[in-house]
This record gives sequence, C-alpha cells and structure tokens, in this order.
Amino acid sequence: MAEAAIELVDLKKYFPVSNGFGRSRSYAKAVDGISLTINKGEIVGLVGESGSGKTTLARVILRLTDITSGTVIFDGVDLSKATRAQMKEMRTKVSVVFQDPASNLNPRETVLSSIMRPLVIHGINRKDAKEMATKAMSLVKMDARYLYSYPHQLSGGQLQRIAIARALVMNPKVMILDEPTSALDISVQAQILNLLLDLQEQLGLTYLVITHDLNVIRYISDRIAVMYLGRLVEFGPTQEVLDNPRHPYTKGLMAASPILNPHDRGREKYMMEGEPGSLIDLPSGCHFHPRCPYATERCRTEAPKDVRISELHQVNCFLAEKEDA
Amino acid sequence: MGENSELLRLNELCVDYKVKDGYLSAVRNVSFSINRGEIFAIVGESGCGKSTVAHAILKLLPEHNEVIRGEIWYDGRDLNGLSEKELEKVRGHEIGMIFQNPLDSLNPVYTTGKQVQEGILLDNVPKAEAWNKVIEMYRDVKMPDAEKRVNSYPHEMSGGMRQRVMIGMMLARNPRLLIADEPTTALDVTIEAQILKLIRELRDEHDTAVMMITHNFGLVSEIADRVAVMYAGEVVEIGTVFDIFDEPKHPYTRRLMQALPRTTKAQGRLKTIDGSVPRLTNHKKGCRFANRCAYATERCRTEDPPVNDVSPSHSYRCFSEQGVKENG
Repeated sequence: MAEAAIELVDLKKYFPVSNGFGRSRSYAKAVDGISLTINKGEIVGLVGESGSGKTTLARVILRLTDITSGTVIFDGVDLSKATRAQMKEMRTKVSVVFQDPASNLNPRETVLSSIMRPLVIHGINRKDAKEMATKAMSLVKMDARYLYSYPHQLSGGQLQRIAIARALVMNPKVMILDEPTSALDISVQAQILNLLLDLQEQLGLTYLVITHDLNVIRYISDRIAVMYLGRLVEFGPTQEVLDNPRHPYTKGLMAASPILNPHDRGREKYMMEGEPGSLIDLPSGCHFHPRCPYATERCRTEAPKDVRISELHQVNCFLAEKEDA
Repeated sequence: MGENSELLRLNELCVDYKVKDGYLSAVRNVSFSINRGEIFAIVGESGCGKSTVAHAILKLLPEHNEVIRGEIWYDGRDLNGLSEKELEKVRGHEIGMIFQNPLDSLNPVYTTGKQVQEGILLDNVPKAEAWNKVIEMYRDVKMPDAEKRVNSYPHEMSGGMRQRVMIGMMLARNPRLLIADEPTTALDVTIEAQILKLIRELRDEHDTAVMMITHNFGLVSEIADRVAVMYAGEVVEIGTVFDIFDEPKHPYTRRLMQALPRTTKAQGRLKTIDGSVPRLTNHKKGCRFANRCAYATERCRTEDPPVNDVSPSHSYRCFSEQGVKENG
C-alpha cells in the first residue's frame, strides 16, 4: 500500500456570513466534510466549477487559513496537534504556485530576491541562499542571468517558471499548483506542463493540481478529484473516472468539457441544466440534487456517504452504493 | 455555398499601430471571407492580432493611433471607406459584437432589460413594443424567468446570465454577423457548453453568421465550421475545422496541434514551440515564424512566403509547397 503524503479526514472550513447587523447567522461552507488521501509521488488533479471550494481546500491544506473542524495529516503528523517547530518544518515541505505569476511576484524586487526570500526567512545565510536560488533556476531550465531581472521584463511563461523555482527552493515534498497554466498560451502551457512532469519525476514530488481544464488534468494527473459545492463527489484513477464517471456531476462535467477533436462533436451529450448553487444557501441532502436527473426523495433529505468502488476510487452518491451492492 | 452567400470579405487588411520609434505591424495582409450562417473562428495565441482584426472591422480601435489599410467588404460596401456616421448604422444593426467579460460591457446602474431596450429603440420602435421585444429576446436566449429577469441589475446575475443578456442585446437588432471576442473565457465549462449550444441554435434559426475570436482550440473544435489560424499578425493557415485538425500544413499549426494536451503523460511529453514572437516592425520582410521554425531556410528570412492552396477550402502561407509532413 502506498504511503500517504497528505491525509484529510472530514475536513471542514466554514466562513461566517454576516447578516448585516454584525451578528453572523449563516456560514459559507466552502469545504464541507472532505476526506481524501494523496499518496507520495502521486499527481492528483482537483476539478470543479468556480465557487466549488477548490482553492479554499488548497488554502486549508497550506494552513493559510484555519480549519473549522476535521484533521489534516501531513507526512504522518496531525497538523492540528503539531508544535510550532513542526508547523514551521511543514511549511518548508509544502509549497504553492498560484495562477497568475505576474501578480504574485513583487514587481519591485529582482527575481533573485523573490526566490531567496523564503530561504532568508527560514534562517539560511545569504551566500548559501543565492547558491540555492541559482540551482532552483537551473531546475526550471532558466538561465541564471534572469536572476537579476525584474518581473516586468519577463514573459508569462518565464514568470511561471520563476514562480515554480521559488516554490522548489525549499526542497518541498508536496507542491500545490493552483491553475498553473490557465493564464498561459497553448505553446507555453505545453512547456510548463512538461517541466512540471520532469520535475516531479526527477525530485519525486507529490502534486495537487487545481484546474478547471479537464484536458490538462487528463494529461498530467494520476487521479482526479471532483468537487461540487464544498464536497468531494468523486475521486479516482484518471482513466477510470474519464472513461466511466460514476457520479452524475462528473458525467455532466465531462460532457461539458470542450473536446479537442472536431470529429467528436456529433456525439450525444448529456447537458447539465442550471447553474451551481451558492455555498451560503446550500441544498439539503446531496448538494447536487437540484441539477441531478437521477435525484430521488432520499437525495433531497439525506447526504450520501463516500462509497469506495475500488481501492483508489470513491464516489459520493447513493447510485454507486446500489450498483455496488 | 455559392458566391452570393458571402457576407464579409477582408482583402489584404493591414493594421499598424503608431509607437515611439515608428509603426508596429499588428495585422498584415489578412484576407478571408465569411458566408451567411457560417461559424468562422479566428484562433491564435495572445498578441497574434486576432482581436485587432475584429475591432478593425467595426473601427473600434483606439483613435488616431492606428492606420488601417485594405478592404473590408460587407454586403457590397467597403466599411473601411465609410464615415463615422455611416458606420454607426452598421454597428449593432448589421454587425453585432459581444466581448469577453459581460460585466465590463453592462452598465451597473441600469437594469439589464433597460439596456437591451435602448438598442431596440435606436430602430424607432415604440417603447411598449420594444419592451415586449426585450422579454421575447430574454426567452430566445433561454434566460430562466425571463419576465422577472428583465428587471434585474447586472450584479444580480451570474456570469452565464450576463453573457445571455449580451447575446440577447445583439440579437434584438437582427444583425447578420455576430462578432464574438472570447465569449466564454470568463465562464465555467458547464456554462460555456450552454452558451455554445445557444450560439449554435441561433445560427440555425436566424442564419446569423458568427465570427468567433478565441485562443481556445476546444471551443474551435466544438463549434467552428471554418478556421483561420493567426500568428504574429498574419493568417498562416485557413481551412475547414477538419482541414485544420486533421491535416494542418503550416509548421506553426502543426506544432500547435501537437502542443494540445490531447494525450496522457504515459503517451509521452507534449511538443512545444521554442523561442518567442519577433517584434513586428512593418518594414521587415520574410516569414514571421522563421525564427521558430525547424524548416526555415535563408529564403524564409528574406522573402514573404506565398499562399498555397491545398483545396478550394484549405490554404496556408509557407514556401514549402507540399506542406510540412514530418514532425519537427
């Protein structure tokens, strides 16, 4: 059995929503009871529509925001019980690359000082830090002369490489990539995807890739996790989920995703009606039931549990339960 | 489709922008035609000039900053020769346009219904009749609760609904050509699928031609009849969607097709295109892709490549007469 890099158990993150009189009455349930395990050396792709809680989930794992309830176990350490020292160490082991590289590099600092910043914060002297920054640049296949450039002098693809270099400089074990290529053109996207795969093999990294682009997910990931309104509706091996999606929402998402072959356009499509609801005013029972063509009375009142249909494949739907029995 | 179904024809369209040290050739010698009821996609990476072409057709480019040369034939008239006053009659009435982010195009302090009505009133329709037409339009674009939604403000609507309002606003005046500049980029895939379905239905019902500007090949393969691929201000290849996806001839198109994530990582790495787009000063001769092309010869750097026809529907701009066959 593979070793777990990150284990989430019934993780919840609620944001209080003010009713306008200072007292909060309701919550936006951005992450609503998610359990999943990401194994070491695995690339997990997280998909879902905007507002489904993907980015909040990443922020919770990174501990950029507090947990409402549940546990995050990183490399065997329960972070809710971790000491300060353990927390600090964990922060060097998980790194993140955000969507728009131009807006998360300081425009007034050189590339070198941006990459060195995390090292300096963690008490490494400047000489070693500079050496490590140079090494990180060569990992992302960029010439060291760019260390003295400013962000505005570089292209989108170069900036994304630098953001990746900065994420790599602390020797992380896990990297969270939030829409790493959605701001890039196709030819640059291909370069970055190839680079990410090379690095993952070379350094034995574990990735959690958040994206709305199913074609990217199919190319890069080993397993796909699908989120809908704060819940994980399906999680399983990429090919299995793509070929045989078990959750009605996954089916709808697959069908809606643009094809990359015009010969496929004639095929029958299951078009999902309506729009995703709001995290504040969540439907009862299964969050997907208002849009689900198979919804029954039970779906309206009772929340389904995760059904494990194979060792690596879980589905949050009553239908899967039935088929399995 | 015969000769007389042609609705728009661009002849050697060039757009130069005035910059500090001369002119930047943003669009060079772009020629193509769009037929009635056809969905025509212009696809290319950022900065390739695809939006400039769309904006040049309706003269929506920043004033006094650009030079437009060439001919823009629409329904027997050259739009490039029209005065501002004459153009106003074309915009919206003949050619409608929708943009990437509907929130930027809608006025936040008026209800969306009022904004749609405003366009209809331009055609001297009585107010009450115009309002009924607004409700009808909302139904046409499959807006849920059309009667209520006409009174909604933009902020009360989702991104998908706002784009429906924009499409309704354009259709209310029955244009024969709809220019859609990245119409679904700001939307989720499920909503994108709904909007694409709507555009396809509108084309089928009203025979409206659609010029779709996009960088998204998924969208192109989903909806386009014909495709023009642009690179650095030039159309490098033009053909039916099947010509482009099945038998791309230009080295740039071929490489783009190989860069699309259509496989899995187990099937090997994606092909990439090394190098970057050259600076587009307008006196430079030669193929603009030469510095990134694996097949470039000295001739490619000094002479403008010719346009080769593969079939009546398919042509590309390259010195290689058979088209590139091998993978670079």
